[in-house]
Amino acid sequence: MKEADYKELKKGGMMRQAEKGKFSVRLRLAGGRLTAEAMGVVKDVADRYGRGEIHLTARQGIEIPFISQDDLFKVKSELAAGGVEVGVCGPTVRTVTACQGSKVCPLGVLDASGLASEVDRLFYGKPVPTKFKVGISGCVNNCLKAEENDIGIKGGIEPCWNRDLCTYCGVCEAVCPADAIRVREEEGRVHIDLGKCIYCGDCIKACPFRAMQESRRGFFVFAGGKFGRFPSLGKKMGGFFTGDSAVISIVRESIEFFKSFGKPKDRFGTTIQRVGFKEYEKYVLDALKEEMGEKAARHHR
Amino acid sequence: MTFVRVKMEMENVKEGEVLEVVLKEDEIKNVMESVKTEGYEVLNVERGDSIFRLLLAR
Ligand code: SF4
Ligand code: SF4
Ligand code: SF4
Repeated sequence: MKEADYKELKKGGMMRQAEKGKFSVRLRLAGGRLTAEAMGVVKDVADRYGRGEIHLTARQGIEIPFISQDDLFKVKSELAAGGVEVGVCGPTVRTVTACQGSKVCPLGVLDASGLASEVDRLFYGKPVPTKFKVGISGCVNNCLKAEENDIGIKGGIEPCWNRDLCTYCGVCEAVCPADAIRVREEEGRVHIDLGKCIYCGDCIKACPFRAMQESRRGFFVFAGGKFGRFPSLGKKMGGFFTGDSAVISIVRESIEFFKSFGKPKDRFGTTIQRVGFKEYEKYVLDALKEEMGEKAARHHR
Repeated sequence: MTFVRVKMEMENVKEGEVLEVVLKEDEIKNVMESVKTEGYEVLNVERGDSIFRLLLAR
């Protein structure tokens, strides 16, 4: 088999193993979620064509190793018949990772898992200059490590204070992990420094008199993060965004930006660095504004 | 842990009675969240030197 053929197979999620003639077959999953029924199909294929084992990848994926080259297409069609798609590798939009999010986790703000499925449905496998990874954490506890992705999304809750209900007890100030609250009874106010606030919502949960309230639920965006040989964390975009459709728009515009300005071999972060973070932000936010009107613009602070 | 003790004490509090709880600052978060989940009434919260003094009723 020629190198070019191996490359083609790899793009289609069938990766050559160290052992000659054997391949590891990657599956298409979003947010590490698959039905028990699909699991049965995977088991069956691993038993009959592999060595009865599967590998759970670093990014919530599944690979079936030890598939013989001659069986690759049979495996692919058997998986497909059971409703399981083979994944992608190479310069494409990769597996979208996500925590279980608000549908399962009591702390969840975003339906991370649902959003991952939607991002996967719209963008998975799309060609880009180099691999492009999206990861979604349902809240600021950030179990899915938003900052290590090309685009990372992290849910959050913005607090606001209601003077009429406040007794200036100081609980919110004591529980805030970011030292963002100052209770000033003598001035008749409680000040929240939203620049310091991490949008955890702890002050809302702890306030004994419901004076700390939820202003908005939404998310932060981190761009240009990666791991690999030279790890670096994604940088936070200005603004707190709301609405699931904004997640989709931001991912879409980021991919468009990468396609327009990325050079071959660039990771997304490299492209952003060369063009400038401000320019990247503007590119995405202008599109968002056009799509959602000035409401989106107000979210930019 | 602290909340478990608060909850046990609250079992003995009768209608019309009040339980006073003194907490260290780092205990207030968990206790207050649980107090709210449990549905106890918070009559008063007073902040002292690195402590909180709560008055709770059922
Ligand atoms: S990031 Fe938040 S919502 Fe997601 S699993 Fe962790 S705690 Fe739950
Ligand atoms: S915890 Fe609530 S009542 Fe107490 S100072 Fe903060 S906002 Fe006011
Ligand atoms: S949401 Fe969290 S970080 Fe922000 S003010 Fe409240 S407790 Fe502090």
